[in-house]
Order: sequence, then structure tokens, then C-alpha cells
Amino acid sequence: MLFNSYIFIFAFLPILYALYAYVRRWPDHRIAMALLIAASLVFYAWGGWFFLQVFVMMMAVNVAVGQWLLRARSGRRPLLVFGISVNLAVLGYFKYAGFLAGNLNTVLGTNFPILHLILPIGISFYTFMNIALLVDIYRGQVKHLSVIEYCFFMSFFPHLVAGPILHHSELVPQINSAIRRPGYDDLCIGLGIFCIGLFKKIVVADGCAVYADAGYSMLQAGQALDPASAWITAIAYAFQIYYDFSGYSDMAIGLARMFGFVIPVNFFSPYRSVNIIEFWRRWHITLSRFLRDYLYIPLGGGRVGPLHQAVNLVVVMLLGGLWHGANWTFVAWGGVHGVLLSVTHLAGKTFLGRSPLLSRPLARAFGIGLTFMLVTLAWVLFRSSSLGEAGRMIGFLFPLGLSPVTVLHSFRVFLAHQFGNPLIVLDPTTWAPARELWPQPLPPDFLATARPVGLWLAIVAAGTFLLPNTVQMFERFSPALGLQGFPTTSWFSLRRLGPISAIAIALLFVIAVLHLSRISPFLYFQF
Amino acid sequence: MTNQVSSHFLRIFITGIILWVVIFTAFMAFIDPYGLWNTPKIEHINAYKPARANLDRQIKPLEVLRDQPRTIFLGTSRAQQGLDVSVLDGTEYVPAYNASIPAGTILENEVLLNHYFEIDPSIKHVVMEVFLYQMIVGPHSVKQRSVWDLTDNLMPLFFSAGTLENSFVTLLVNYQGRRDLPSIDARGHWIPPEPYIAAMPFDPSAYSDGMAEIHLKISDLQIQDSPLQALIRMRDACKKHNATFSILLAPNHPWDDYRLLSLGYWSRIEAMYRKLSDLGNVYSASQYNYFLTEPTTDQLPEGKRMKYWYDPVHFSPNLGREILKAWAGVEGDYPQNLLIKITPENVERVLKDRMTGLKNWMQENRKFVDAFEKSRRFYCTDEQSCKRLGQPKKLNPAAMQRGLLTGDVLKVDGVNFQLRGGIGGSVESVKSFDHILIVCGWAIDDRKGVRPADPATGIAVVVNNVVVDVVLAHYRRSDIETAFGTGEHFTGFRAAFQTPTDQVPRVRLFALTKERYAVPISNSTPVEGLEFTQVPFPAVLTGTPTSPLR
Repeated sequence: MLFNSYIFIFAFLPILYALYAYVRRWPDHRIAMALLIAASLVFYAWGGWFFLQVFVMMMAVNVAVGQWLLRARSGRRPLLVFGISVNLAVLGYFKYAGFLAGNLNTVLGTNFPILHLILPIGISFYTFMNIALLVDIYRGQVKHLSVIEYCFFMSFFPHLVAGPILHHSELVPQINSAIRRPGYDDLCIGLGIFCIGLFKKIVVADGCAVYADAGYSMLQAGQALDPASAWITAIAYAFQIYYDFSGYSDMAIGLARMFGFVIPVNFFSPYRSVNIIEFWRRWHITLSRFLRDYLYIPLGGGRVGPLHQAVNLVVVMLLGGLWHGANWTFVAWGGVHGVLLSVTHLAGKTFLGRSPLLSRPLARAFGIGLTFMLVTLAWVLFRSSSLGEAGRMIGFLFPLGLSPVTVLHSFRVFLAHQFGNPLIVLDPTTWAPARELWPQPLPPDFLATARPVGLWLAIVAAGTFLLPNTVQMFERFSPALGLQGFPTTSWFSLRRLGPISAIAIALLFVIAVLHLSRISPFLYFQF
Repeated sequence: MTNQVSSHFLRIFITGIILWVVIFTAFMAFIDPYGLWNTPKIEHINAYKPARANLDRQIKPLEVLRDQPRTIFLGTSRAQQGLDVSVLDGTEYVPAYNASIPAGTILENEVLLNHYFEIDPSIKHVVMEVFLYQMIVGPHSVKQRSVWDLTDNLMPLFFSAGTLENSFVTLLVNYQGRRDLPSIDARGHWIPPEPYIAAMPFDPSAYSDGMAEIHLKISDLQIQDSPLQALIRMRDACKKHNATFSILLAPNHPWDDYRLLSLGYWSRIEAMYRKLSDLGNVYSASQYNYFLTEPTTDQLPEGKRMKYWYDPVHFSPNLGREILKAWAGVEGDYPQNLLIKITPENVERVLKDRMTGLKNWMQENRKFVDAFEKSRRFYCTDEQSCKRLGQPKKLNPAAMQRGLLTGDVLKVDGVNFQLRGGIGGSVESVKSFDHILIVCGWAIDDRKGVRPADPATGIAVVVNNVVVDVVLAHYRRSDIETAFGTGEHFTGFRAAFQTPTDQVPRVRLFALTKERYAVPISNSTPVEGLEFTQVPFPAVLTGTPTSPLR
């Protein structure tokens, strides 16, 4: 079931909340927990019974291994290795078996059958949560594991299919207080955050997707893109993936809060990062945390020499890339980020890292611009279906055979067409209907000249770089865990959830629902 | 509850949702961009509804449910464009509704008819438009419809961002007094934009080339049994619901009649008539009369439009209204043979008269006949293609030289054009049939780099430095118009030319401009088995003497 579907918004959620509001008053809080577990399994099973079977099987294996680990006095390490291996084997089978077979066949000339398995929804996320739990038990950070609490921790529907990747210690200790305390404030705060997330996903991300998809469809059809159109495609995708995933994360945070739970922040305006290290502290925060705690630090982290650290970073990011999908494009994407992180770390250890100039506004603005550009270029690898396609896209973004005058001409045409005459730009009858943007053959500068892409990207960019993010807007309401260290905002943060905010949030909700008439799956479901 | 969250928040939030829903819905219902709310049409606000076009499959079932017509017309774009049922007002057939859908097969219309009987018990008359191409479509799957299928499109049509945007667009185009987009009348027939430029104009060469190309891909046309069976089932369904069932064999333009005759398919028309003549109420509107033989656009003064035809395959409501009058028995200014009921007894005579009419028309329209025969000969390059085109004689390619490319100068029909870089256009598809290349794309004159761009005066096709053809852009491309602001002139072109058999040809295309420049048309589409010169977009932009253009 998708958060952005009529069935979820108008049936599943209100019915579940009504039942929850009723049973949470009962003395035994396990009934409320059981209700949430049952509802979460229904939510998950909506995608297919087979997915539910795999999920329940993995829960059974992990809770057994976890309890065994808790009780065992010796042989804990082999048990941990066994548990982790089972998790990785199941993930590997569903996600990487076909990829591995295909590559082996190519390299060794073997003839392994290439399996085209349907990837169980959210398997990458719940596999990491299970591994983290087993390691935490092994390290003594989790001392008690009840079956019902474990089932609730794993299956709680807000985080089930696309994160955030939670720790047992973040959710389970809240159970009693979340169910017991009066739910009105939580419901209102959660609704507010959910509606903003819904708007970000359905209106902003899907609005950007039209242009990103058009550009990549042209690329896949073997058509040419002029420089401006290529940059529009790349930037539209950068915004699409950000608003898609951060919108989903906001919805998850809001939904959890409606039921009284506070879960970790997953995005904190990553495109406002001044360098790539900061970007990874703000982008998919719970994945970065997992990779740091369970991969990077065990490999030596920052305690080793600079070169060793750089290698570790590249290895971690390569694996992080592979986690996103079984394709060399994801590996390359991770590798690029690994190299960028290494270079930034190395640069930070030179005089550059100590220079006071870096904290000046102009330098910060330059850093933000550069980081956004690098991240956007790396997304080309992430979005392309093959390395060859990514190479062609890079070729269109940086047409080396083209004179600077010609490149400038391309952007001049873009600016003239998108912003030249406000009366035409704002006239919806001059806008290219989304459905007509692709897949038919289009001229190379079509995207650069198809209104209102310029206006749209300008609005989205302004919102991204100038407006506070969702958790900053709700910072007075303790919206999420893990906000320490992030900047707060004094303006645009809600002081009180009153009538004006209620009307404004209702408007965002209604606009989002207006856009619901076509189903668009979340990008991150595929990872 | 804390003082951070107002005790009224939830109540105001829910009230706010209701309020916004009411505001948006009221606006969409007032503007009514698809005509579903039946709100009053107010000039300069919502009278003209261009957003309604192209939504027939979604909207027509809802309109049948809403309007509960007594007479329903089914069919394809021919009936959709040509049958204005308002002419039946005052007869026993009202309320009547044109439920035809573009490219609707007979099987799809059968499913729709059953659906309409389910949602509209008042249907008493059903008219199904049929033409040859529906009868050659074999069995295919069509999803059965139920009442619940009507709910599929309720949200997108009544409460969606698309409908909201279309409401704004409707308001704006009405305010501006524009009529430059097609729309659909409340009774279901298509209304062309003004000015109307047909997608398939009456251009003898373009029509002939296009048809020849289509027929190269078709091994044979055969009347299928499944459409006939579907028509029989439709007739039986009507009988079951106490409704009359008529089949309307919509008028065929003489160009199309000649095509079938020339390519050897006349017998298919005859077979169709004979098979259908057994079904009962079958009416033919393809008899030769002054409607059918109206002089075509290419014979009329420039700018003058035909009255009875939109294009060679779509008749206009001026003809459709007369057909409907004849069908309903209403008096009108139409020839006696406009509509003839086909029976087993008269079918041979009707066919004979039609052949006689066609032959007479051929005598008077040599220009078209010659153009069509030229196309047949042009595309006849080997045994198979000649067979598919009815075995015409082959054409001599040497007779087609139009000029030469020498250095930086392209000489076309004695006029010199200087080669220059810039955006000339783009080749988007290249098809080869043995030694014929068919190239489609778009071309403009963008030398000034301003918007709107000018039209190209022609497109020169150069094979091995020889200009083998010069074609004109002959159809509109809304995407190019959007991109280059080209207004209402043609930018889409299609060029077909023969290539030498003794060597691998080098093919280049140039957009010709008013200022006598020849600007290369880019091509980044690889063509298998052929050295069709690859001119990537960046190279086109630079167009320097060292570029691959040279």
C-alpha cells in the first residue's frame, strides 16, 4: 500500500487510527501494539502475500537468533555471523542473484541462469534493521528482546517499506509512553508533518519527474539533448529524488507521530550542504549512520591513516551504492561519492580545512553550489539504466566538441523561452501538457523550450535553498529524533498549531489529493 | 493537549479540508472544462471547452449515463467528426448522442454497446458506423465493462489537478476568445479548431506517398469474420433490448476509392457490401454525388476550405447532417442517392453504380490519378513491393535530379543556396525499403535565432552531392510549435527518395531558407545497413567548415 493512495489516506489510516484511539485506553498496552502489528502486516501484504511470507520468515529467524544471542554465554560471535549471513543471503538472493549471474556469465563465459525475481518491498531496509539489531544485541546495547516488541519494531508501517532505518533502542522504549499519553497533540503534529510530506511527494517530486523522465526517455530513445535540456533533466532529477524520498520520510515521521512515536530524522536540507561530508550527514541520515556504525568504524573509521581512511570511505560508499540496486550504475555512483568524500576529508586535513575564509557567506554559497552540482552530476549515474547511458548524458551536459558560444546560445534560448515574456510564461495554454512531453521524437532543445519547466524549477530551487525544511518548521514540537547538531531556524518555524496553520496545512493536503488521481510509486521502493 | 497545539486545530483542519474541497470543486464545476456538470455555458468564460477533446473513451460513457439518450451513434473518428446529431431534434430519435470514439474497432464498440444498454435502458435506436478497415481487423481482446468501470475516471475527471488546470485553461481561452484548439460538442461530435488545418490535407502527392508506404507493410487486406460476428451480436443485443440496429457504411472519398481500385482491393469493398447486405438495416453513403465529388482543396482557390470533407478520410458535419436527415427520413437538400439501404437484392446494382461513379470521377481528376500512379511506381522496387502495390511499372531514378552540391553551394532547381550552420531541423525516423529511403522529421528556418522561428522554404535531399528531391513541410507539429514558437505553419516533413544501387550512398538533408541559405538538418539516429550521414546536434549548431557536415 502506498502512503499516496486513496485507500491508505481515506480508509486504512482513519480506520486504524480510530481503532487505535479506542484500544490505547485499555489497561494492557500490548493490545494496542498487537493492533498496530496486525495493521502493519495488512499494509505490507497489500503489495503481495509472497512479500509478507518472506518478511514474516525473516522476522522469525531474526527474533530467534536475537534471543539466542541474548541467552548465549559462549559462541556468540559465530551466532552473530550466522544471523548476519542469513540476512545478507536472503537479500543477496532476491536482489543480487541475477546481477551476479549476469556478470559471471559475461566475464567467465559461464551459463548461469539469470533469475528475474520480484524484490520484496522494503527488504533492503528491514535487512539492515535486523543486522543492526543483532549487532546491538551482540554488543550488549540491547539487553531485552520480547517477541511482540520485536514484531512491532520491525513491522511498524510508517518505516516498514522505505525507512528510516531504525534502531531497536529508538522505538521500543517509547512504546509504553506513546500508547499511554493523550494522543491529541501527537495526532495534530503528525497530521501536519504528514501533509507536508504528502505535498512534497505528490506535487513537487512528481512535478519534477515529468521533466526528468522526458529527458531520460529522449536519451534512451537515442535522441540528442542540447546542453540546456541536459541540465534541466539532471537538475529535475536531483529535485525529484530529494523531494520523493524526503517527502516519504516526512510522511513516515508524521504517521509515526500520529500514533505517538518519534522516529529519527532522515533528511535535513541536504542540498544546503557546503561540502560532500556535510551532504552525507544530511542525506538519508539513517543509512549513513548504519554504514558508519556497522561498516566504516569497524573498518577503522577515522582512526587510521589518511590513505587507509580514503580506501575505507570508497569501499563503504561502493557497498552503499550497491545497496541501492543491483547495477553497476549504483556501484559507480557510490564510488564517485566515496572518492568525493575521500578528497574532501583529505582537503580538510590541509590548510584549506583550517581557513577562516571558508566560513564566509560567499565561500559557503560557493560550497553549497559546488556540492549541489557534484551531487547532481552523480545522480546521472544513479538515474541512468547503464553506464553507457550515463556517459552519453554526461556528454550532453559537457559537450566538449561544442564551442562556448554554442553552449551559451543553448542557455540563451532556454532563458528567453522560459523567462523572456512573463505574460507567455504564466499563460497555461502555452504549457506543454505533461503527457505530451515524451516518448515521441522531440527536438534536442525541446525541454529547454517546453514551458513551464524554467518557472517550475526556479520555484522548486527557491523552496529548496531558502525555505526551512519540515522538521525545522516543526522544531518546537520535537518532531524527530537525531536533530542535535543541526541548525535551528527562528523564522518560518511554527510557534503554535493554530487556526491559520490548520487552514494552510489543509490546503496543502487538498492540493496533494488533487494530484492523487494518477498513481506514482515511490522511487525508493525499488531499493 | 498543550498550549502548543490549539484545541481547535483538528476541527479547523477538517473544516479547512472541506472548505478547500468545496472551493475547488465549485470552481471546477462552474467552469466545467469537460462539460460533465452541465453548468450553463457563458460566453468568454466557459462556452468553449477544448480540454474535452481526446477524452472520449473516459467521458462518453458518463455522458450516456447522464443524458440517457434514446438514439446512440457508435463508430470511429469518421462518425465522431461527421455526425452532428442535433439535426435529429424534433424527430422521434431524440435525445440522440454521438458516442463514437476515434479508432474504435467493432469489437470495442460492441463492448460499449452492451455497457450502454446496462446504464441506459431508454436506448431505442443504435447506429453503428462501419468502414472497410474495421472489417479487416481480426480478433483482439477488449476488456468487458461494468457499471463499476464508470468509477475509474470519476476522481481524475471531477476532482484532480489536471481538471483544475484545465479549468484555468478553459477560462483563459474563453476570456481570450480563442478557438484554435479542437473540442467536442455536448452531443458528442468533434469540432475542429479555427483555423482548421487538417492532419492529412488534400495533397495528392503526400496522400499517395503515405498510402503507398502503408501498403508496403501490408501483405494483404482480408475481410475478417470476427467483426462481422460482432455486428451480428450487436444486432441481437439490440433486438433483446427492443432497439433498432442500423449499420451506416460511411462515405468513402473518391481518393480512397481510387486507392483501393488501383491497389487491387476493390473486391474487398464488394465483399464487405455483400456480407453486410444480409444483416438488415444497412445503409451506404458512398454513392457518387455532388457531396462525394466535391472539388478537393488542391483544386480550390488558396485559403478556401472544402464544405463536406475535413480530409480524405473524414467527412464534415455538413455532409453528416444530410446523411442523418436521410437516415431519419427528414426532408433536406440532398441527392436521392445520398443514402441507400443495402439489401441482397440491390447490392450488386449499388456496387456497379459506385464503380461507374468512380470511373467517371477518374476521368475528371487526372492530377490525382497521375500522382497516385507515380507513387506506386516510385515505391515499386522489387518483386514484393511491386506485388503489394498492384504491379505498377518501375520508375527511372535518373530522371529525378534537382540540382548539385558543389563546395559550399547547394544548387536547387537553378537557385544557389549557401551552406550555413545552425538549427535546420532534425531527422527523427529513417526507414529503408530496398533502395528507397523514407525520412521523417521537422525543419525550420532558425538562422535568426529568435522566436517564433520562420518556416523553412523547402527541404533538400542530397544523395552523393546530387539533389534528388525537394519537399515541403506539410504537417503541423505541436511540439515544434511549442519549442520554437513557429505559429501555424508546417514544420513536419516526410521525404521519400531512391538511392543508387551500385554504392553505399551518402545522404544529407538541408533546410532551405528565404535568405538562400541551406542549413543542415541533424540526424543522430543510426540507420542499420546504410551510411546515412550522422550529423549529431552539436555539429549542426557549430556548422564549421571542419564539421562532419562537409
